[in-house]
Amino acid sequence: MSSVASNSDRRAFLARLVKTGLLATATGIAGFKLYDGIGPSPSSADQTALILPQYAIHDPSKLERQKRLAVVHGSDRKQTLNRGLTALGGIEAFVKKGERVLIKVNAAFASPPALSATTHPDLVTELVRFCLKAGAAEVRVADNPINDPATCFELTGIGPAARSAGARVMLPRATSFQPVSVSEGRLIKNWPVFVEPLKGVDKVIGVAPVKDHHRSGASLSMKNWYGLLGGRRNIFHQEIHDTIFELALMIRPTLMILDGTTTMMTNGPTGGSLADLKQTDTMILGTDPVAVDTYGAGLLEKSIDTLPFIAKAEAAGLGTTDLDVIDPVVQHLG
Amino acid sequence: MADLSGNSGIRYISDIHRLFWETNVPSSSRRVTKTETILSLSILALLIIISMVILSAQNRFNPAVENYSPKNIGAGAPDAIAPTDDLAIPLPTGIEAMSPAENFTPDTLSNKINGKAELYLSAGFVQLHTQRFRPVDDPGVWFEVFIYDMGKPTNAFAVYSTQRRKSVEKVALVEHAYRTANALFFITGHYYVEMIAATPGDTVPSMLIAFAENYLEHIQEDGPSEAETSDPKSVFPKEGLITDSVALIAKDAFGFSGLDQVYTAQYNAPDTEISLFVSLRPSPKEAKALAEAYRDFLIQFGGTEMAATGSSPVEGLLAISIMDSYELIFSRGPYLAGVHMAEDIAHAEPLAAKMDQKLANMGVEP
Amino acid sequence: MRIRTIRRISQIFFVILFFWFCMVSSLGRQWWQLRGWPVNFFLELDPLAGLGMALTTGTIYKGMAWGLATLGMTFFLGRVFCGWVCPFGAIHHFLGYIARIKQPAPEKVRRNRYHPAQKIKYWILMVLLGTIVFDLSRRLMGLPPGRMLSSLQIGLLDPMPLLYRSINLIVLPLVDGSGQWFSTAPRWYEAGFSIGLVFIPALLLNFKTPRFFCRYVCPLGALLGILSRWPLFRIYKSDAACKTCPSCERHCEGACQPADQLRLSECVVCLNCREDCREGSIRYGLKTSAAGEIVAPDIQRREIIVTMVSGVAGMAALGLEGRQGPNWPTHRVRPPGSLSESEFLSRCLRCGQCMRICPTNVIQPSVLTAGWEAIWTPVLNFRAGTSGCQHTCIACGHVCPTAAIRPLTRDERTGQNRFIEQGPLRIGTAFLNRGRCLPWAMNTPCIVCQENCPVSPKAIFTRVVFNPVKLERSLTVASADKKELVIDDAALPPGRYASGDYYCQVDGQSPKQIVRQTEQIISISVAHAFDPTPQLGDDVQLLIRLQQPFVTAERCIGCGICEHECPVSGQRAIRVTAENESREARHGFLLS
Repeated sequence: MSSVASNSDRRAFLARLVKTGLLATATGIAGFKLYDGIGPSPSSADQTALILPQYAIHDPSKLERQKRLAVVHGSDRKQTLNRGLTALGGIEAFVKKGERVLIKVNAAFASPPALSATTHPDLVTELVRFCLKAGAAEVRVADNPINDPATCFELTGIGPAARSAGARVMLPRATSFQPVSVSEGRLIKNWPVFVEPLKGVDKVIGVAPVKDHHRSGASLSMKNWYGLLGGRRNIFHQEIHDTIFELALMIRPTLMILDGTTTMMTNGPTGGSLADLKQTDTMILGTDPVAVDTYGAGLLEKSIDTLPFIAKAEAAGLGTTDLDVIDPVVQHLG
Repeated sequence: MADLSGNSGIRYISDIHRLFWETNVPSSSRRVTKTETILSLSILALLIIISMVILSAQNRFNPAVENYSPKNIGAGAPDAIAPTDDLAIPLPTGIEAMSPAENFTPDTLSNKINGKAELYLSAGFVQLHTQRFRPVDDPGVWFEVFIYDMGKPTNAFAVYSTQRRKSVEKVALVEHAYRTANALFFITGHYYVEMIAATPGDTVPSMLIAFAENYLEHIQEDGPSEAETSDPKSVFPKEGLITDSVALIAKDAFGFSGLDQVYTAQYNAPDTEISLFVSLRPSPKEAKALAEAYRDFLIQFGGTEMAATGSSPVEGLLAISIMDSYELIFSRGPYLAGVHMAEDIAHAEPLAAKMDQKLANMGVEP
Repeated sequence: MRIRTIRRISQIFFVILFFWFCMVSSLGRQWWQLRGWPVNFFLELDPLAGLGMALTTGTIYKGMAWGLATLGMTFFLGRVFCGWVCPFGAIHHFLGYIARIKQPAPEKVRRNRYHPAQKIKYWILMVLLGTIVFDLSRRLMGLPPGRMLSSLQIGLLDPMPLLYRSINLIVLPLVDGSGQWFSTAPRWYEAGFSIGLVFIPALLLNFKTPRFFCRYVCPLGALLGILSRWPLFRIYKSDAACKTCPSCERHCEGACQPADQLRLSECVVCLNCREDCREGSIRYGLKTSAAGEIVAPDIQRREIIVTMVSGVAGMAALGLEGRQGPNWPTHRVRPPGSLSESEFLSRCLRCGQCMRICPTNVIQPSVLTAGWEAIWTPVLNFRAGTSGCQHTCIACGHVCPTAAIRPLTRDERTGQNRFIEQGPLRIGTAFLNRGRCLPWAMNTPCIVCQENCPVSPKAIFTRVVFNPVKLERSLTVASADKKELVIDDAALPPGRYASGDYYCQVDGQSPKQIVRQTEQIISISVAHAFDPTPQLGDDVQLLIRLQQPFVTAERCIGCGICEHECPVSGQRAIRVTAENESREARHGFLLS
């Protein structure tokens, strides 16, 4: 790059001047734009947490004389489910054509259906079939199990049942969780929740077995939503009753199905022996979680006084424990 | 493009010989141009400027340093007591703690000092530490130490000056300190400290003073000492001023809620004393407005404004006669000043004039 | 006045300034203490640190903006920072100068010749920048911190953090040794050896090649070299007078070949060539060199790609160790005010300022505690120093140049006034090891941890238990009255059980405090009395009164004073680990 004439010298200098000037200006602008005189804020967990939408179709605070709780006695799950749905107005009362439905099952353990620690696959098959018959665009079946998800869905029979009935099974992945806060709660704040299956869903149906639970006393319909919590959720066992109560605040489902056909009377939630089970042949369906759980507690032969989460939920207006007011439809199948 | 490796290599080898013979020649045989000298000196000046900027920066304390004082940071000294349980200073030899330290917040202050709490609360009270001590060999002569954190030095002065007893003995401890037969009172920074002994006695004063000296040695001032430049205390004329009579009323001076941060001082007059007051307001307009508001307040409570005599050199002097005394009010610049409850207006007016003159001498525009 | 003389003065000035800043970095108000001295000045001037931080966080924090001034200076004048300002460079320069005293000129020229290995510093720069790619892509994708790896590794070899930590953490403590002019107690720092392993060779290698570090290693020099592509002012050779002797290269600091085609990226504007040239051919000005210039560093695109990819791959490999996720190191207790780990690692320069300022010397440079990717980042070691982390001290955050440790207010640290709902800031939780604790495992009274716990109400409480004392044989009463026992056929060590902690218990009665005890006689305190009076043959139990500590986790702020004071001096009976630290919600184990 040697030069002889001073003209080209000058030109070269000007070229350099321009380049340097541009570089300096660009750097200056970048510096100005990126300047931060304040510094980082205390908590990066200041991300706005989600608040979940409501899926309930009945307002629990209004005690209308509709049928909000159905109890069907029988040993065949498919039949009792059928009769229960009919008693509440049919599946069409809950699922409309073109809607997306999430069926939140209990697939917490890799336990065979006979041990009644998880939702029975027959229920899943039948319910999915009903939803699709009502014209649902998509039916999802999901849970965040305690054990390995894939294994749980297989060994419980729920996975194959759901898929063969035409539903989509959604297993949790790292990206399926987002921080959620329960606005009226104090425990579930900015906590990762399994929200992926809820995205775009119009109706949520919970299906759970009736079980004794060592820590909380009972695992019924409100506790079913524990399966949506992510992170190291064991921490919530420290205040389990308030947690179950806040779960009921977090999710107001369209319909709850509490399967009391084979009830786990002791050694819950895992059970493990057929001796823990009792054939109570009862299917409970309802839109009032407090009423549903009150009835379920009866199957476990426990007083609702020993289950404080029920009283807390009732006090918050989520439902009522007074079964006379609710006036459930009770039916018996042969 | 020249081939570096080949060409220059040969050149280097041939020139090395030449260098060998020329090592004695000084390397810098250039003449230094004027431009170069100017440039050099400018850069030198730049370095000096950088040093000066850095020197001035070191006066603005890092917040970590503001926060730091040995009583916060246990330096591992063997007899330092853990903070929050005790006064966190090593005790002088021969003195031991008699009870654990107590801490009071604005909410709990009245639990300790009852009705007096109002005085402190209205003056910006932050918190109170108290603890009892006694000499090891004479436990009967115990004393209690009250350390009031008033937030600002002026607040400490306010509670100190308004409670100063008459006929006390000045103590050469800090600028503002006095003692009575069984107690010692002083201010340091934004703390107002009272040390009150259970019984008076011969050994009490020296014991209290020794404790105070030990205390002062071990605490550090939080931040640079209060600036005296715009200190309203200094506007009081010296002539006739009764020593140590300057006091600061933090709030509700003379019963009027608009008057806060008012300094008062006592002056000698024949057979009596006269009170002069002054307060620095944010702006001249506000000082004038406050003067008028105070006048209106006095009238509301039965005072009558006296017509301007015209003979007073103080511009805009407001004179109100209320009950059996006279109140003179005026403002100069941002200062509100006047005479409070004078019995004889003949002595009050000249004093107000002196005050006004002093302010004028200080350069305060009317 | 020669410009080169000014350059020397400038170097001396900045070196002295640097050492001054290192020496005054201790908390206090005296002129030789911190006050308001801008001790981070050189870190702020460092544009590589600023660039790294800008890439990882998208911000230039406060004083780091001074790096823009350095960049501006470089754009127009070339690498004057290296030659005139950088204290590390000045130290190398000086050592190189000493090394070549008595060297003949040809030898000097030979050592200053450009060496292809000078491109290694560009490789180092690329590798370090490569490690930033995860942070950068995470930000560009809009993901929150913690979703991908974070790490700013620039501080490892960037000369300003390197010099700060080497001087502050090795040289000053060594110098201060017994004299202790800089601190109240001898300070020591854990990673001394590893830090020295970089620092000492860098200094010593100047005896092989002048400015070894600057030429071959320094990533900041590399960055400035890349950026001085079009400097307005540069060293150039005017054709006419040059006699092509290599005189100018005798003292060339940057090994940039002024005699030949000047390598712009290597020239540190030391102006020695200008002084050495006897023909006046070498000038510093606006013209380009008659013999030609090599503007860009001698690296190829392929090398750039390979080195950057190595940086990325290295970072990925480190990330696999999971230490920014579930495998987080328990003993990684960070200073109060530290951001959450991924944000922290995107900012920490490993400059060691927090370690230098900590009044109790508990902040230590991590060697392995926080993992490879966090070497030399601050971690608290409560066995070090004079006390734990003082719970009203906010020093570390206020000297951190990049706010990896946030500057706190006292209120936020202690959880008062505006922060009363959040409560005090926690850096960890103390866990009691009952197997090592004296009152739990050794039947020995001790409540040092509870006494020293600084929070109010205390986070450690005690419960009184009476444990039997193990004796050779059982004791029985020979005779007794309301205040005394005479033991049958006994030879108790006199006074052993009279410390006030020992109690004696006769069948069916409550324990009574022993105040005097001889070989056979036990006397109890005036506050007690035997009721009924013990009879001949009654069994006597000796008990020791112990206060056993318990930790109330909700109140514990993890300050570590308990761990520091615990008399079990090796592995303490109460230790603080990072659970429940305020900065990481995931590390909590308490619900409320």
